[in-house]
Amino acid sequence: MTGRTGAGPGTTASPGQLGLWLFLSTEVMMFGALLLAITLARLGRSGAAPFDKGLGAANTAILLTSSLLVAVAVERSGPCSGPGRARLPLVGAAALGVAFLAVKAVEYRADFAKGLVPGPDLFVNLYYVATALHAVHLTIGVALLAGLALVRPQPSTVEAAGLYWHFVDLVWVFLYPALYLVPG
Amino acid sequence: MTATSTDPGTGTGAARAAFDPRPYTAAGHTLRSWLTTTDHKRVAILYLIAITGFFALGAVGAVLVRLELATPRPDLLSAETYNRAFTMHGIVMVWFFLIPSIPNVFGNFLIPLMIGARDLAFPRLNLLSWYIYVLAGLFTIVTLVKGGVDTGWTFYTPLSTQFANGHVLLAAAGVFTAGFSSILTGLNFIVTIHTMRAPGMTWFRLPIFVWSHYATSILLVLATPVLAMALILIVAERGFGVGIFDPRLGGDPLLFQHLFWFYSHPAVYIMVLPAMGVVTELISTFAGRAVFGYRFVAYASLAIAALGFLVWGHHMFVSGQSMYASVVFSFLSFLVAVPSAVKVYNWAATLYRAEIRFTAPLLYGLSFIGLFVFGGLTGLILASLALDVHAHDTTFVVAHFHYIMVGGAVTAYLGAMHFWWPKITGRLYPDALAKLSVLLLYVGFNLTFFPQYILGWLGMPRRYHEYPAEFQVWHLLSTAGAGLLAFAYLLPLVYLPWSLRWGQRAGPNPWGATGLEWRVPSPPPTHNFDRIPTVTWEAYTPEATAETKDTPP
Repeated sequence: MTGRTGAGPGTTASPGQLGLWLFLSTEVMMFGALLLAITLARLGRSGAAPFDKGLGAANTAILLTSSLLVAVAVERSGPCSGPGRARLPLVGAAALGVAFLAVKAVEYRADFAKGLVPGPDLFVNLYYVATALHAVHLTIGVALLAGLALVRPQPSTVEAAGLYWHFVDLVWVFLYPALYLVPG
Repeated sequence: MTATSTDPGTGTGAARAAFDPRPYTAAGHTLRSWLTTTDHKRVAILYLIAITGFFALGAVGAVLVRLELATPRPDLLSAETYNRAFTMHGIVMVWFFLIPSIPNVFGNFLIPLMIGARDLAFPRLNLLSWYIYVLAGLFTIVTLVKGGVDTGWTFYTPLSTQFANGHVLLAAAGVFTAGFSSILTGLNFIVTIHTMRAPGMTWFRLPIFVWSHYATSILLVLATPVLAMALILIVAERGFGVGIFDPRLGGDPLLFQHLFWFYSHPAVYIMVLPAMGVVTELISTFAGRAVFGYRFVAYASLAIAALGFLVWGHHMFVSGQSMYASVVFSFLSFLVAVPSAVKVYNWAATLYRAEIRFTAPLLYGLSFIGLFVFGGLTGLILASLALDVHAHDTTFVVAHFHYIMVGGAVTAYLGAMHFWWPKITGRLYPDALAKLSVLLLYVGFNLTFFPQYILGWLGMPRRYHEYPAEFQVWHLLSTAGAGLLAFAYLLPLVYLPWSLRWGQRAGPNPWGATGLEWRVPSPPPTHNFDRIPTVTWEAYTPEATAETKDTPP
């Protein structure tokens, strides 16, 4: 398909890949707006972030590991690999996604017990909006990976789902320091 | 990507054998054939019908506002109803007419034809985008039926989250959903322009219309998600009680204005960049020449798009934001005048000493230039820190942005309609009637909105439904002008449908224009090109001198 066009430089990406990158760029702008708001709220607030750094760090480790498994799945879905070899890492990554959500649920429960509920603190309120929106994205990602593990997907499909998963992971990599680590 | 059904552009032998020379309009006559089509030309027609309906709906809001303002006393509408009328006018006109108007009707129809492709990169996504738009429109209509919303189209907090009585969540859901339609369209155009160009159709051989749609698509893809986030945060506050903008709940009301204008200022360029693309085509065609300074005009679109992201703070000069921020925003806003002027001067240079044919489409294009320049220059007044304090939230602002959005974008939309109507339908319309409607539009528009500059400068606030008696003469002139303008918009709704049946048949190229779209029959066949052309000529080269060469099947 790309051979037909080639009218100029920059036309080597397939339409599907280019479309996916553009979609991810819209997501970057959406989460970017939220990160900007979080940064502003952080600047207008004194004292260290009240959230549990330990659970946050554990979740960061879980997501980074899941991204590794997704990378392995993309590698194994290539034409040189046997059929079904991508299944195990896909299942593993989806399971880690579920583990992340479980840890998050435990953390919400602990937050509520500590009285960290939506209230007069904008930073805390944005924490809930940001982590909830991230969890929605992650849930979609888990469904995608689990779905791919059930069928025998095209390599390009695994790559596309993988890109999305890495993006959701990357959002967390920005949310974690912004919400948990930046000192007051 | 492998050759799948999403790529009808590949000129394979199989596709050649199956080429159907019948026009796209003959591909099916049932409602079902239209509602399930993935042909970019048919989707464009679906959009045309839908946005014409929404234009009428938005116009009803405008008529109510103008009738109420004919007298100083609140005698036609209550304050509450008036608020709902101008809010519905704004929401419908911005998101359901202006933003989709030129891109989704003419961009959809023309971009594949102009770049020498058989369809957009993602034809099914294109249809999906229309369905999402219709769904969003349904939300808005339901909001209207249930009593409307009174926040103004800007949804400013804390009004929208604490005090508004209308159906804010429903209206926000409509706008949020419409945003997805915008994003999908922008994405589709960018991918199409990158990957579907015919052999030899290099970036600098693209018509300026395509360049401006490329710049618009970047704005659609990158600015719309920020609006989505702003609306999500409103829902979080109004629906779930999580304080984001309400100071009593720990929120920051200015945050909403930052997020809203980060989208809504680029949105102005989403409306006007495609219009500039249209006007460039009109001027080049009827001056009978290539666009003067092609590369400057092309880059100016990108410059406007890029600067558009950096000027949102000029809506907030009186909001209490940092003075230093305001100075920077003011300076950057002045910079937008540079690429805009580059375009206007290049249009003027294209027309200079040309053998101009004063057809109806060109008259629309010239009206655009006049009204756009006037709206742009008053924009400089509003971008000045001190002057804006005086004019802020007056009808001066209303007049300014109507000169850009209505005088500019709607006039260009009608110009595009008159220019490409013979291509889309294969019929010519009565030229004299079209010229009459341009005249009515130009006079009616100025009569409607010029008095609003004066009123605003005298201190008439926007969004008020009563006013001191000494303002009445200007308000009456404005209301009278709105009547003329309504007539100018209704006239094409009569003679264009009339031409479908009784209009003279148009050949493939009734205007002697140069784009690839004029080298296929009118109306174009379903798959556009029998053979994908190989482009060996520069943009705006007349057909007679361009060496046509086809790729071997």
